[in-house]
Amino acid sequence: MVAVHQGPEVLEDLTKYAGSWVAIRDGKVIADALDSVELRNKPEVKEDDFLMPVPDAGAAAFLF
Amino acid sequence: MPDLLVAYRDLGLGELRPILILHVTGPGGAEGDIAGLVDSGADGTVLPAGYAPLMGYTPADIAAHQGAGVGGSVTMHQATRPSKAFIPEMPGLVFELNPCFVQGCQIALWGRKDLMQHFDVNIMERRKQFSLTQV
Repeated sequence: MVAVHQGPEVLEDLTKYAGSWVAIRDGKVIADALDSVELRNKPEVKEDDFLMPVPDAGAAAFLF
Repeated sequence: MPDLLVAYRDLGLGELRPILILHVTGPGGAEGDIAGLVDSGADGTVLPAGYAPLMGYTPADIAAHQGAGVGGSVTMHQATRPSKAFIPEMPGLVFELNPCFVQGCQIALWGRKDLMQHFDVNIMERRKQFSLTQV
């Protein structure tokens, strides 16, 4: 069976959060912080929010 | 026929890339979704260091060693206890993740170990899609 992956979508431009962590809910940023633990501990962040780091602005291209 | 066809996405970062969401459960039971690049150039699972505390890893669960990236030598913090992961659309196949946490790493990498031990991956760059076939 073939299906198209339906993961969390991000509807906002995240570039202004470069270098930070963000919590996403319903496609929108609901909180941001400089590190992951600080973000998780914010009262507005729920357990099932999607947390991710936002790459630095200089990381427009990933090289690994 | 592949089991899953996945469209590239930009995740708000302005460029379409082969990003896959995995639902991950850490060794202590903490769980959540992680978006990562499907990366055949990475030996295994590489995660930004900030994921370690979110997943419940403590310093006692991590061993440091040197690794190599495009930019030169990097310190890799290898988890000594595995996590579990599955693709949300395929919850029946749960596999182990043995992540390396790297300070300065900016996006999760799903490398050849872990994910690619369980799925054949086909990157279709011109179509901006990739497929996963359970092995």
